[in-house]
Amino acid sequence: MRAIIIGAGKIGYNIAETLSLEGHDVFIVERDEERKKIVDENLDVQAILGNGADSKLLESIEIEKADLLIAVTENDELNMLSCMLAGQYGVNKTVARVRNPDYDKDNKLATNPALNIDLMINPERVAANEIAKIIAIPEAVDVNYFAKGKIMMLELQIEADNPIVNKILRDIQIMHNDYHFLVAAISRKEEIIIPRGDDMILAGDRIFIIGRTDQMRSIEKGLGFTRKKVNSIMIVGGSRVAFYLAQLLEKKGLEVKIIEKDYKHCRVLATDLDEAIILNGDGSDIDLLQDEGVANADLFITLTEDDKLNVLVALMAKRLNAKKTIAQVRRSDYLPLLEAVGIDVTFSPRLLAAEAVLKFLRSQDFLSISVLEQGSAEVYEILIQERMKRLINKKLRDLKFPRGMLIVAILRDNDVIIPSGEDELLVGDRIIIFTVAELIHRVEHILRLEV
Amino acid sequence: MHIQVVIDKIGVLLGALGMSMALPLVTAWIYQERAAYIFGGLMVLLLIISGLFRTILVTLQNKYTKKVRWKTKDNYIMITLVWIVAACVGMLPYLLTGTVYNITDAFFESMSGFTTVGVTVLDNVEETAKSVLLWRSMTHWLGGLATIVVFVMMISSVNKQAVQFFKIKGDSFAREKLPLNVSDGVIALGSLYLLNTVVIILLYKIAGMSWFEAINHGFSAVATGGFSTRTASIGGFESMPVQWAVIISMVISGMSYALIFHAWRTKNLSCFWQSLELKVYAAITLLATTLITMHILPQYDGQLFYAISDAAFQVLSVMTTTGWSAVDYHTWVIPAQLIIILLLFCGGCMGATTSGIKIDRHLILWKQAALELQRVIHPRIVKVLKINRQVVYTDTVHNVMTYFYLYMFVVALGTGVVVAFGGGFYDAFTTVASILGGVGPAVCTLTDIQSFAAAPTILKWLYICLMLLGRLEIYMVLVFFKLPLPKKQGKENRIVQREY
Repeated sequence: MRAIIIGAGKIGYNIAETLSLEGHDVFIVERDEERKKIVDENLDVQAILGNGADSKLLESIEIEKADLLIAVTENDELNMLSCMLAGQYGVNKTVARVRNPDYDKDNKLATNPALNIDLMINPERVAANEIAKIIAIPEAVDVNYFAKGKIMMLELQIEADNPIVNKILRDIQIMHNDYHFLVAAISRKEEIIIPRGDDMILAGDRIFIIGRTDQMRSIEKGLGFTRKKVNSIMIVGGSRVAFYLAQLLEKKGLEVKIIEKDYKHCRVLATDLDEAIILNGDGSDIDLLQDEGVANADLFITLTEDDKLNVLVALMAKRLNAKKTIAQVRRSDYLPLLEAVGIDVTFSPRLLAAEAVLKFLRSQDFLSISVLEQGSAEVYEILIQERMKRLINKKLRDLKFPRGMLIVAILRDNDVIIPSGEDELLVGDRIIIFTVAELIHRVEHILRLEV
Repeated sequence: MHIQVVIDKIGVLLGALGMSMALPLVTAWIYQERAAYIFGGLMVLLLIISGLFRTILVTLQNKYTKKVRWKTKDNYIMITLVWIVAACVGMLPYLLTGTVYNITDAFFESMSGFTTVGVTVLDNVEETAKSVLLWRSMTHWLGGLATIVVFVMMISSVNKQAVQFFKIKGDSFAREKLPLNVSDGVIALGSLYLLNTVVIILLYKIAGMSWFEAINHGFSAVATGGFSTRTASIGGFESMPVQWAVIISMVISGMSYALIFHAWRTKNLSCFWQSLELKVYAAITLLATTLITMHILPQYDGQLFYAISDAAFQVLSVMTTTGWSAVDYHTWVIPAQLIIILLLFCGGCMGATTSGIKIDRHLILWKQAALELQRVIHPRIVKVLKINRQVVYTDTVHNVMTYFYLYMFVVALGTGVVVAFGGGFYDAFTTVASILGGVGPAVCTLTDIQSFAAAPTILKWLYICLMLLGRLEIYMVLVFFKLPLPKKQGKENRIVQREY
């Protein structure tokens, strides 16, 4: 596949990296010389200096042969123009990053055929949606849904006082035999382990459990987790993510407080939000945080533009007894480190956006994809079709999947099956495959071979 | 102020008043009253003067081709002038037909009509000539129409400068529901007003009034006035169908024409549900009716239907500032009376013909109060006051707060003056509040009979001032005198003299 990426910012860089690792021909158009140099030095892609809406430049990299154009510069209008231009050259799939809320959602532009945009992505809105998902299940580090919401995967942090610490998985499964669930993976010291029955759970691990959505609450309870309802949420920084998030939370009737430094921006937020309490002040002001009840906050989220401030304030809030902290950090290389320091969840909006774009690109082959732990593992949902002859009617143990790749759930006629080695796959099943990053290409490979 | 514009508008006003004398003229002709000559004569005279003004205007325009710069402030002066001139012209039929014998009474009656207050100096309404009664109701109707026109003007001029005074009238939540063009807005709401009049008259006729009474009360109801063709007001009919017809008409007349227009234009009734002021209007009506019914039920020997009918009637009559009475509420128990007196300070929706403080202002004040309370808990809070999800700007809030203060100040001052002239405190207070609020006869307790004929002349002039202040929302009258609010009274006269 030939892909053209306009803009080598965080999102563009990430997508380019992933696509090139998967063996695609990637061209990246970047206006800034410095950024181009970074791409040249680090990635196996062809970087071109110039404007993404310049048709001469695009012709020079043979845009007419391209299958895909992803416009992810800072400039919404330029992104849209690039997609429009790509349409003229017959590129059949385009993605545009559009941040301005005036352009997305209700605007007819999004569906305008002349613009030829298949996916409009708003990184801030994506981030807000992700956080809202976590808020629904506050004890989880991450939440993913499959099979139209029937199957759910939770990432849970194991504390030292948890009853399942130092137990081997087989015993845990036997202990809670009445519910079907599976520990799909363990994240230990920044490494993903696909466990076997005799693997032990240690304090400090993060486990990925998969099970039926309607039983998940009981499963969690059995494993020593309690689901607490989130009522009060405190957000530091009135960025766009904060605004989208507050909008989502207001609808759910949760109590939201936003602390923002800039008075004028406070007024804007107060105008656009109905219920949220907007406070004008510095988020790193301990007195202010304490006066506004940080100790009673179920969730403390830092969303300022400044990574260091986000981390600092989140740590401070943790010290002040905030129950759960989430920090936005743009530099994605820090992320795993920070969660080790004590911030419960960290995320980078651009990384999330890159994930969303990748999900969209693969959605032709797969029903859905989830990216876990900043890309170190992925979960695929696949519909078993007749052409996949090598998979059908065989016991799972005979399929000989490599270690690191695991079928974690099967949805057959509305029934959720947590499979063992004895189960077989039938045509029409939806299967959920968990895989570590190194084996992602193998998944595609296995599926492709069956054709 | 430009003399040409004044001549232009006053000419049009006199012409309109002349034209509207046609209806009393026809009535006088039908009932073969002597007043026919008077109305005929007045009509001709007014039309001639109006024509004269127009001629003067044309010559003036030929002389001075310079473009007239019309300031928003001039609008307010003009509006006040319109009411005063109309009241002056409107008193002529009373004087000439010998209905009242002195200028004070005639001007009082006329001003009460045009400001849709509805208090009267006529002791025995039944004996008054029918054409004069119709003219009296007509002044209500014209006053109501003028109120609507002013409302549209205020909304439309909201983008221009120097309108901080009236921001509330043109508040964002009403503005977008109207065509932005003044003349379109006047035509739209004017037609609704006319339609409402026709509907209400038909309703009254069906409920059992004679055509003459239906037309009179219809004019009065649609303008939320209060004049009646019977001394005992609606109570004089002693008919439940009539009472309920009046209740329905009052409910409709207390609603915002802008909102009705919006629903009609979008063919969608959902805006009624979304409108907070309408919901509050309904809630207050229901709550007050229920509470009063509970209190007066023993007095009605447990006859629930009659208790509810009377309670609902009195509540709406006071709230919409119509001011009719079906029953003498002073015979009720004290708690029920208290509720009625509280409702004096309520008023109907903005954009209707009701006077008083109005629900929209109360809403803003309450929301502001809630906001201040929140600020005590969260000192750093930044909050924008919103009604129906639309922002109410800070200067509007200040305007409303100042209005409320001035309103209460005028009530206090007025009460003081009336007490000084020998009235009882309770009577003085309710009378002043009900005249300033445009409620009129229902709550005035100054006299046993519902007439002001016996009041001292000086107090009648005080009441006339209160009527004008109430109808023109205080600020407008103050602008007329060009009295900058903080300045002392002494300086004001000099300024006025310099100008004219």
